[in-house]
Amino acid sequence: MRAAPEIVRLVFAGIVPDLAYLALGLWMLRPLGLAARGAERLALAFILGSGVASLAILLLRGLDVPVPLAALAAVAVLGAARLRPDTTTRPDPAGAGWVRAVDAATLALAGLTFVAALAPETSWDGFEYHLPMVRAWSEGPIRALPAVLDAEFRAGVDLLYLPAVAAGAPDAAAAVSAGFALALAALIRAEARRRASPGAGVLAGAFALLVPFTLDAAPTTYVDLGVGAYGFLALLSADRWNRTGSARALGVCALALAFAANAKLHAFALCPAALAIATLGGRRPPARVLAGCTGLVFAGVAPWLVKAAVTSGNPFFPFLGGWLGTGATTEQVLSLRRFRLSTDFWMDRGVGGFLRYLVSIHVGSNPHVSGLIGPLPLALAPFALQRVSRATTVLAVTLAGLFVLQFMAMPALRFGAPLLPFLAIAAAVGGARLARAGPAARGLLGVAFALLAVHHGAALGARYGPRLAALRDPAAYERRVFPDQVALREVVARAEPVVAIPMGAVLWMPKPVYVLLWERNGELFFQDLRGKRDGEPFVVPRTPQAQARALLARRGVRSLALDVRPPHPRDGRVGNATVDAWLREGTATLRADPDPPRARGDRRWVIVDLK
Amino acid sequence: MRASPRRGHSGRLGGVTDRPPPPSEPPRPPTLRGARLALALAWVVAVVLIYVAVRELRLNLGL
Repeated sequence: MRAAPEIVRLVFAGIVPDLAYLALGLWMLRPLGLAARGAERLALAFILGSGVASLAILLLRGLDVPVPLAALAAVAVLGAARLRPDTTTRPDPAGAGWVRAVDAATLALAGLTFVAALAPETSWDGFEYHLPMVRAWSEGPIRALPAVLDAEFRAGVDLLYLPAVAAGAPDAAAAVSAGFALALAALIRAEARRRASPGAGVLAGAFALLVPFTLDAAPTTYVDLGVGAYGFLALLSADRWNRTGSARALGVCALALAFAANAKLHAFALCPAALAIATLGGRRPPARVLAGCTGLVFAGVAPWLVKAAVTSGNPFFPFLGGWLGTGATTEQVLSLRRFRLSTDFWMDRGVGGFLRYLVSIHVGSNPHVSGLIGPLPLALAPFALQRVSRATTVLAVTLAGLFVLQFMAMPALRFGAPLLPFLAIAAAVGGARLARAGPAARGLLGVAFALLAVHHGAALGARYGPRLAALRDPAAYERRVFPDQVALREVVARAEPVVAIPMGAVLWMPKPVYVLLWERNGELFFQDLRGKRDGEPFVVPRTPQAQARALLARRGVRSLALDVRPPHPRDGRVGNATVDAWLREGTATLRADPDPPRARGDRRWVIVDLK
Repeated sequence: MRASPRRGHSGRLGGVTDRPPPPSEPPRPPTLRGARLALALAWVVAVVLIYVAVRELRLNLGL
């Protein structure tokens, strides 16, 4: 159980980095010539400030310079002076009573989102590699991490978690994700307000925080909301160029593109998309402006190219591997990882599969796809598609192209995070059009929104409620959510380090661990990998025993914690061909345990000591 | 942001060319009426109800 001072420290570790990134951004707004008010101004500042802060952390930790919370607190305090309203823009007119009420509810929801983010990390990728990677880079300089393949990809958002992790408060790291959720909601609110009405704006902002996509991602250290915020701002700014002709919008677009690409490699695809929007939308940018923006993008991504060159030997890793090398991994692993991304939605990649994908997004049961954005885009966005300008047509066609690309390559909806806010805006425009039809339409829309708010609110309660309680008792929350990982933690505590584990909560482990999953370690197939590619079954055979043993020895592995199917290890086997061969040879021994701790289902955790 | 002055055909500042550029969006489309409005509202209600029902009842439609 945490005492009150510990909870205060946790909140401090959560809020200080957010405020420091916000302060950096507030300093940037004037030189960038960005005029905005209220929540939109704060959102722009947070997004741009976090991108710059991430590069600063990359530089500092690359040189092994600490990034203490106290320093960030000083930045936040200095930035407070910039919080005073921007007087160069006109204030928004006060909205109707119900508009102000929805805004107030959204503000409360924002606070709840932040607090829920302070509970222990229980998202799979978060505790398996995002936070462990950051912890390693907080304990030593940014460097190659043996057998952590993800450390070779971009980690721009991950680095924003570093101050909290370095301060010994990894639970507070996800406050940054919450910050991105709030920033996205504020941008959606402002853009929907501009394009539709104040009422549509506040509703779009509120539902942006309520939909399952946000409920899932905001309290975790997944980086998709960050990528979404950078990518959305980039595409929005390219569209803003078409509408206003302000070259500053293109500058912001370039910066945001660089930050998005620094956060996740696939966001590079947004660069040609933004170029298409800016050049085809009816206002062709001058060549020197385009050249300047291209330079800005390269300047923004250059630090990560240097990092990749230092840690993998290939500045463009994981691309051009045949030419510049694949570092500690192989082309086969990289190719399988790319393929693996496409398997989150198992349907074929033809027209039929795409239609099923569209249906599944709304009423399916695929955890990576279904129901995440709520029903409003499908219900309301079609009414926005009338008499659109050339700029909006180009924007819509480009977004559709990106969406098809996402379906083909990586169909999990979170990878499309930069595109999803546009659906919210389209829904707001369509909804506003319906609302103008008269009181009956407004009444019916009000009932539909209320029903949906209750539905999403119940989901929010189920998801955030236990996390609020976890502020006082994080251990109880972990036991409830992932009892098998709590048991694994106990098993690892008894085993000889380095302990190899199948996969799981690396962050929680009390001793150094090695993840046996090929996707994570990038070097070892601990069992045969079977799948289907283009309809044809394939098998990647497991790494030969001797080679596997040599690899584990090189990584310092002295024991394995494995989850074993029944009959539990009374028959002296663990069900893995490689380990069973070692047991038969006598080069490994199964530690006796009359009552092995429970893993998932009817599996049990056992320890195998390597000789 | 303040609109910057633009030059007119004569090359001088001022006159009608000082007006801000026309908005890139066309005028708002007409509001829906009658049967089209009823159909639109029925669509909205159906989509929201189906979504809520599928999630609340945890229906598996094989997708």
